[in-house]
Formats: sequence, C-alpha cells, structure tokens
Amino acid sequence: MIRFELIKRISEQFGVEEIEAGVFVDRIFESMVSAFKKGKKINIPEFGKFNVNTKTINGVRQRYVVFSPAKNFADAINKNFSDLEPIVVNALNVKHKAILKVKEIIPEADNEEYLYFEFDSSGEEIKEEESTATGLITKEVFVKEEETEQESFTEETAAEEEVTPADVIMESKTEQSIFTDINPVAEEENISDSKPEESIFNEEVVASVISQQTVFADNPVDIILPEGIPLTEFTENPEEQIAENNKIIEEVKYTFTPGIRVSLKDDMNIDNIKEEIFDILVRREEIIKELNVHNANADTRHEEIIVPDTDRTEIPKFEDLFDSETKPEIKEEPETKETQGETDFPKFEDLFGSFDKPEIPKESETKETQDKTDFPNFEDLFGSDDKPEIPQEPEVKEIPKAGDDSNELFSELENRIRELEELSQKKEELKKTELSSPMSQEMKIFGKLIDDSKDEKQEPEKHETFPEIIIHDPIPEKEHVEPKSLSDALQDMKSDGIIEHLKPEEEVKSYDDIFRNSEQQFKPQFTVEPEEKNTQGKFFKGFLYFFFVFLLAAFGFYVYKTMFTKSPGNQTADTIGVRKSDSVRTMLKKSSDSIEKKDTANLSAEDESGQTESFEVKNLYGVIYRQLGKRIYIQNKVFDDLSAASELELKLKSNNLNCIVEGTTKIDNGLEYRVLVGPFKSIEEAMDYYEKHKVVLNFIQVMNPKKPNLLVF
Amino acid sequence: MNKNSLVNKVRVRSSFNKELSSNIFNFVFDEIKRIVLTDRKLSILELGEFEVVRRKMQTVPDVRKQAEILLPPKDKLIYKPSKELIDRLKD
Repeated sequence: MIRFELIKRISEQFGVEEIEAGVFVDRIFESMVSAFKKGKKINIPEFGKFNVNTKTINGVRQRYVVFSPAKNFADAINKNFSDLEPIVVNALNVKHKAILKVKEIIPEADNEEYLYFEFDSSGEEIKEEESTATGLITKEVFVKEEETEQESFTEETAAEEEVTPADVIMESKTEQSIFTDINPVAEEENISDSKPEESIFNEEVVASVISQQTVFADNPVDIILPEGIPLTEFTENPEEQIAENNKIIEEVKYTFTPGIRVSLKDDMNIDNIKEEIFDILVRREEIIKELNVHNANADTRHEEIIVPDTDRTEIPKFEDLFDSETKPEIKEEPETKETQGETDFPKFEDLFGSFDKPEIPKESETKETQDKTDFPNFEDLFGSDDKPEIPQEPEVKEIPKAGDDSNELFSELENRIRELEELSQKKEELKKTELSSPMSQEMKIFGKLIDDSKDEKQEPEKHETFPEIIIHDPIPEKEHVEPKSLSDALQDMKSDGIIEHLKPEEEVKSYDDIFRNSEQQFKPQFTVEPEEKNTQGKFFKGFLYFFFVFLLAAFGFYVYKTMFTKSPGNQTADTIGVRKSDSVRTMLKKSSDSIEKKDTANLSAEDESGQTESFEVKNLYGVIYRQLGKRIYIQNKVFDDLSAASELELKLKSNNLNCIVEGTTKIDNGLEYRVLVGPFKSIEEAMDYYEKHKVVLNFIQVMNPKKPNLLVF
Repeated sequence: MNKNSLVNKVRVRSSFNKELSSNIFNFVFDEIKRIVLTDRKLSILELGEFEVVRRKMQTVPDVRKQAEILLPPKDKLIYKPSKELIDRLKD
C-alpha cells in the first residue's frame, strides 16, 4: 500500500488536510509501536489482536509481536473455502453397535467421490468407504447387536477385496433386519435419495450370512447365540423368515434357564462343541466327586443331608467318546435303559447317532462303570448306529430340528450346563449346612485339643529364677594396722568412707561422730566462701573508685567552667571564690591590652567608614582570616543564633579581647553570625597575634562548643 | 490497550475532535483490511507485513474419532513484524 494514497483518501473522505491526515496516520502507528515497547496488547475490534510475546530468534530471546485476526476478518480471508468441511477419509476402528446410513457425497477437486457414512444413533463412531472412479471398493458388512433382545447378529467383512460395484451394507435393527445395497457408481442424486428401507434386497448375501453363522475376517466378534435357535432355511419372503425366527427366539427364551449363555467364538464348529461338552462333563464329574466326599463326611455327623444319587466316579475319556474307531463297541444293556429312565437328559447316542462307530465288545470294566453311572456315556451317544432307538425327551422334541447336528449338540450342551448348575447349588447348600451343623467327633477332639492348648497358654508361666553368679576379682585384704595418732585414724576413716556414710542429722553418739562434725566445719569453707566475699568486695571497691573519679571529674569540670564563664558582674566569681585564677585573667588582660594599644580609634573609624561584608583572606590550618574593609580579623566562631554569638562576644570582651559580630546571609537565605577578633592592620600581624594567644582563643572556643570553627591545636 | 485508548492517545497531539479521529482510525484499518483482501499482501513500515497464505489440502489423524480426516484448503492471514519494529522492541 502506498501511504500517500491512503492519506489522500482520508483527506477526501473526511475533508481534512493531507498533512494533518499524514501526521495522524503516523501517530497511529507510532503509538502502537510505543505500546508494544511497553509490552501492552492492542485489541482492535473487527481487525484483530496484537500481542507481544517473547521468542528466541538466532539464539537470542527477545520480544516478538504476534497478530491474530478477528473472526470476521479471518472468515472473509477464507471466503473461498468456507463451505468446505473436513471429511473423514478412513476410519481406523469401527465398533459395530450402531446403524450406518449414507450422509452425503462430497465432490473433490480430483473428481473423486467420497461416500461418507455416519452412525445414526449417537454419532460416536463414523465409518467411511472411499470409492474411486474405477469402482474398486472395500466391502464391509456391519452387524448391530442388541443386548436387550438377546438376538444374534453376524458380521461379514471381506477386507480390501476387488468386487463389482455391488456393495452390501446390512443394517440389523431390533427385531427386523434391513438390508441395503448401495451402488457407489450410481449418480449422486440417486445415492443421496436412496434410503436403507427402499434399497434392493440381496438374497444371496443374506442367505450366506444366516447360514454361515460365523464370518470373521478382520473384525472378529463374539456372538452370543440364543441357546438352541434352529436355523430355518431361507425363504423367498423375508418377512416370513423374520417372523419365524422371532417365534423361535421367543420359544427359546422360555424353554431355557435364564442366565445361561453359550458364547461361541469365531472358530466354533461341531468338533469344538463336542469338546466343550466333554469339558463340561469332566467338570460335572469333579463336582460329583466333591459331593461324594462331602456326603461321606455328612453321614458321620448328620444323616439328614440329602446327597444326590451320583455314584459315578470315573470320568469318561475324550478319546473313548469321540475316537470311536479305536475303541470296541459296547453292547446294549438293560441297565442303561433304567438309568436313562431316571435321568432327564437326552442321550448322546440320539444326538450324535449319525456318526459312524465300530462295535465295541463287552468288557467287565465298562459294565461296572455303566452300572455306577446314571448318566449316558459318550460312547453310546456318538455311536448310535447299531443301537436301538431310545425315546427322546419331551424338551428335545419341542425344539424343531433344522436338519443339522449342531442343534442337538446345543441342546445337550444346555442340559449339561443345567446339571452343572444344580450340582453347584447343592455344593453350596452342603457348605452352608456344614457351617450350621454340629461338629463331628473328630472336630470335637480337635477342638478339645485346641482348648487344652489354649488353657495351657493361659496359665501364667512360672519361671524358676536362679540367682546370677557374679565372680568378682579377689580383693586383696589389707592388713589392719592400728593408727598411731588421731590424724592417722582420721585418714583411715576417710579412706574407708565411714565419714561420708554417716548422716549429718544424726545425734552425736560416738567419738567418730564428734570427730566427723569437727571435720565438716573446716573442710569446704576455706575453698568456696572466701572467694564469694572477695568478688563482692572487689565489685564494691570498683564501684566506689569509679564513683569518686566521677565526682572528681564533675568537680573539676565545675571549677573550670566557673573560672572562665564569669558573668559581667563579679558575683559568680566572688561567690564561688575562684580568685586563684587571677593569673589567667591577667594573661588575658595583657593580650587585650596589646590590641588596645594599637590605634584602636583609627581602626574603628576606618571599619565604620567601609562597613561591608567580610571575605576570607586566608585559611591557615583551619584558622580563617577575614578582611573587612581594610582590616584583618580572626574568625573565632560562627553561630546561627544571634544570642549565642552575642554571648561569646560578651565573654571575649569580658576577657579584654576586642571583637565584633558580623551577620551574613547563607546560600539558603539563612543568617549566620561570625564572631571576629580584631582588627589588625595586616594578615601577618593577625597571625602573630593568633600564635601568641591561640591558647586563650581556643580555650574560649572550647568552652562554647556549639559550632566549632577553629582547630584545637 | 483497546481502540478508544489508542484513539485518545493519538488525538491529544492532533487538532481533530474525538469523533473525527475515531472515524479516521476506523477508516485506516478498514483500508488495511480491504487491501489485504484484494491484494493479499500489505506491508507497513512501522508494523510489518500482512500476507494471505493458502494452506493445502491434507489428511490428518483424528485421535478422538480414531480416523483420518481430510482437511480442505484454507486461506490464512500471516503477520510478520518488520525489522524496524523488532529493533525498537529490543531497546
């Protein structure tokens, strides 16, 4: 932008001069820059925000201005692409708990069409399929699973297959399955208008899905099969098919015990179902064993506990059950019929009768096992070709056959599971009864033992304490020597410790006690008490010494002060009686006389004629010589207060020293008063006078220590 | 610092009244906007350079949706402060 154009437009728009407009624009940017320098943010509505941040540029950390445009401004900049929205191109993980529908088709710059699918329910998951112009497409079939209805749903995926442009998307709803077929090559209008309900029904795909039961390629899903659902053949009318299936589901719901679910995995087939049944039987036998053990214990202590009539102990082997070619055939026996009449479960012979099985010769062991068991053997179940038919149980008859062995297997599996549950319930009951039942004899004995052990523990332990034997070193016996004197006897007693053991308050009864008392009197007193007295005395003496020194100093100070601060009257000096200081007075008088002798009259006349402010002539070691007019004065002292200056003047004059007080103005417009001694004709004369009388002058100055000006020596 | 304080700061030195100065202020920034939108580039000596840059179409992963998203192209305004401004901020 050319700034001149902007300024011209402003002047035209608002009718101001171009110079003023230019200055105004410059000031706008200048003020902005100054605000940035202070670190302030600038917010201009409808334009944007300027913010000052710190940033490292070329390794140097410095401030940096950042601009973020306002929303309207940014939208205006992005006007060309504001209509476009982000598109999900490839879904990485898709759950199967929602219904898919076609949402929109977005044309792209490369003339590619993107089919965009989104879940209808909550929009949690999104699945897209990308279709190219060549018709290559990834085909996926999604199945919805509804837990409330306990329906089965299947899923078929053929990942990244090249197929004809017939895509299949199956949507299964609560009780009705809606199948849609979407052709991505179709025109946009047709695809956008197509709804899942109106789509073409692909019979082959549906039939394959229903018949296969398990199709798991990329996305394996655990399918919860409603137990014993017979799978009917696919009919031409899908509604009838759905209705029949629903009926079957309703029947199955009420015929099977609730809570039992058989989950079939993706690799489930008839062999696997057999294995599962075998496992269930093994578990059943184990539980029966445990129950027998419990029954044996329960008979000893409680006869009323009912034990199920399960005498079977041996578990049928899986090889015997399914690998029928190796095993011989078992002949029919009437006992098996009785057992079958007692049980409510169908035989496996009936269920797996279609399998070919060689005959098994009779064996005593097998007979015994069959006598014991009330449950049909797997040998009979899977090798029922040569065996007579046994009437089936009513439950099995109620379930319609689908012409497949899997239904029978499912029913058998269901029965076994039910039996297992009953056994487990009985086991729990037994446990409860065990807890509530009285103790057996063994337990009583064991309890007694425990009680006895507790009683033993409760008794207080009596430990025989043996005195410790301490072996001391042999003490050499001292030879008893009789003391020769009293002092020796005293020392012996001290060494033996006789004196210390005796109490001082006891009455004196013996010679030793008397001796001890006399000994106590002079033993410690010499060491401790005299020292305390000495310290007190020293302190007292020191105090007195300092007190007298202070008094002397005060007296001397008083004497000095009274000698030289004599009032104009003679009262003070007379009253104090310091007449002995006349020698000083005479000295001062002599000094004053020497000044007076010099033509005082002429000097005073000259001073009065040229009375101006004095100025400093010389400063010799702190002594200031001032010239007032033509005369020289010695500056004695400078005061801020006139009264102090006049007082000093009086003192000097009282000592026969000629002096004057000069008032001057200071730099800060204050007043100061100089006490000047003199006058003298020349500076040399003044210096000689000072050298002769400096003692007196300084002494007077020291006596008035308000503002010292002269050096003290 | 908002617009009013900036206008007041500028107005103190000039002979314009408050209304006129605010109008001129708005006009200046409207002109800047207009030139940026039309010419796609504007450089001011004191402030810096405003430029409209087009971001290309790209696919980015969306972690929340666990999917890849195709972002459409976008025109974006980029501001680059001038050397003069950076030098003055150093002081």
